[in-house]
Amino acid sequence: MLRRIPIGYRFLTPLAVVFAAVFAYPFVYSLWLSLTNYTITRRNETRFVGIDQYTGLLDNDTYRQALVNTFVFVLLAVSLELLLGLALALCLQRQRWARNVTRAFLLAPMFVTPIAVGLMFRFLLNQQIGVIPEILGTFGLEIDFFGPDLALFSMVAIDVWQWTPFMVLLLLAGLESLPKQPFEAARVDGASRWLTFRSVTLPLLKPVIVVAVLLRALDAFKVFEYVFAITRGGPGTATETIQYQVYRTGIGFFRLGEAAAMAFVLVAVVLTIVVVLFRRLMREAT
Amino acid sequence: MAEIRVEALRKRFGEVTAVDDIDLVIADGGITVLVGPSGCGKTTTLRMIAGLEDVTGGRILIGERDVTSAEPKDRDLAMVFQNYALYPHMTAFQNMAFALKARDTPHDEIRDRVMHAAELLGITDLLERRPKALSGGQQQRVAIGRAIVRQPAAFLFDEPLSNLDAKLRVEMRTEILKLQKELNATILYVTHDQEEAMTLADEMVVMRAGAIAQQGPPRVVYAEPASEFVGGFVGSPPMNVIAGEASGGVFRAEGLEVPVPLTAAGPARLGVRPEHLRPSGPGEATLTADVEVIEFLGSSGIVSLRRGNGDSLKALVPADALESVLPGAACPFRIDPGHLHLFSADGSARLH
Repeated sequence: MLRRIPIGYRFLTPLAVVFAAVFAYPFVYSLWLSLTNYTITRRNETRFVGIDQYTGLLDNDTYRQALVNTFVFVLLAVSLELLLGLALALCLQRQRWARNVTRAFLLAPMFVTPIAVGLMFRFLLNQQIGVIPEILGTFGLEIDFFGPDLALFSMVAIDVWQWTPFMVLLLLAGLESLPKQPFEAARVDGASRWLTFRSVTLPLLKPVIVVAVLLRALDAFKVFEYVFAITRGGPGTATETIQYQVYRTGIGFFRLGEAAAMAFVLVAVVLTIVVVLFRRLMREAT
Repeated sequence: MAEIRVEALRKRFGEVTAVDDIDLVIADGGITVLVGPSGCGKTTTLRMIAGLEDVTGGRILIGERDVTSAEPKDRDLAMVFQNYALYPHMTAFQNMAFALKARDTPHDEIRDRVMHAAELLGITDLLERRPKALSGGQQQRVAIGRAIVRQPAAFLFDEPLSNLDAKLRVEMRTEILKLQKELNATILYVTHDQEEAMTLADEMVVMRAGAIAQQGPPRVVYAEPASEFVGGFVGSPPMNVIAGEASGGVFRAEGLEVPVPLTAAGPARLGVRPEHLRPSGPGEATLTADVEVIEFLGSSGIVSLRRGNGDSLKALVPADALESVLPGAACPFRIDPGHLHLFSADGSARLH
């Protein structure tokens, strides 16, 4: 029977098998789970519930809160990383001496595993034993970094600390690969630094910026380690993000059907953002 | 428009001297062309005048103003780049308007000046297009338009035609000449193409190894090259050079005797332009050489010759005289004695 398949397709078989095993099967299976009330501790009672899990999420306040938290986190973290990253990349591009050393130091946070970063900041920022609150205390500043008002923003700051270097890396590579002549033309044309940045640098760098933002945003949507290591979603639900809620629902409460539905809603939202951004980029490129 | 003066201009890149103490006057209302082989320092000179390259030594004056260390924007010069250097995300109109916008020119005036330049260059239909949607020739027109709208003190052209195909290059050359006359513009033009230099220049500056080898109107540079290098670089095909000895009013080389002025004596090199080497009857021949190949150009042909001693020569022969030249045969040729160039033995100086 195999002989009747064209040889090209036969070569594809190993990849197709691996793909089916590690991607297609889990994907379809979790999609199926999201349409059932599957709970690990009550597997015998599993039944098909259609889109009930999805409609149920609409009325679920904690899920909505987690969605809002996640979006606030992604929006703030990626915006700050972009602004800081661009500023640093512009400075590094002009740097004349000790370039490699500076770059190596600057990129260091990226190489620490996020769970370790989470633990590190958990202690650094701890109100009782943390060094940062203590230093601030000497100036009379009493700040509870993991209190209900600030916890989410502290998570943003930690993400910015760890991932701005990634932005710098991409934007610096983008800046250094831009053609030189339009910039020389702008100098001769009499453009000020600000006008050159606004009218030449930014538009030329836009494709790189879109890709960098996209990569960072996709990664930021997955935020889990900081929450797990520091706040476990608290105080209350102040830092409960989608990923953490999916984890808690699925692995903590064993409600895998509901967790799968939560995950698929996030996938749909993220895919929509990616498609819209890429479409805009493609349209501008042509 | 203004005159540009360059005094003892020098540029070093580390240990390498790219431009070595050159003095130059770019006359108001004329085209001065810097020409020379790759690496001779012509583009570096232009970029120093534009302010895009720092100066190691010397002065640059535009009119009476010393601009040696002024920013490019304060020099009132407009530049046309080799790769056009258009802003890829802007339309042709926005590209041309950019310099005016940078100078806070009122909108109406920007519109008028861009439209006027576009009419001059015949690109009014293309103003809403981005560079990607324009051909090479159209992009170059936009780049020239961007320079014109500024109404600067002088224009700098950095090999602007080298990315265009041969036909378009000739067309654009004529257009640049017309434009220059219309605007009475001061232009400093850099090229490696001697033909482009000859056709465009009011004043031609031949450069070699960071120094000026000769400067003058193209006719003079062509007719009286100051050195063997200039003779060989200017003119196509290049000048033939024969090594020999001059004495008693005669230049002698193997199988060759040509009358030269009495003043010349000692080892020397004789320069003969291909068009001054013609087929002749055996009686009036100066030399005999084997014809290797003939490249037919239409109204004439380039004949490659090899002499008995192995030297190769080129002759530019009118089409009607080509019949007497047969590939593979030894043919008699005559050097026109009225158009001889005699150089010193090292080729560095002109003896006659």
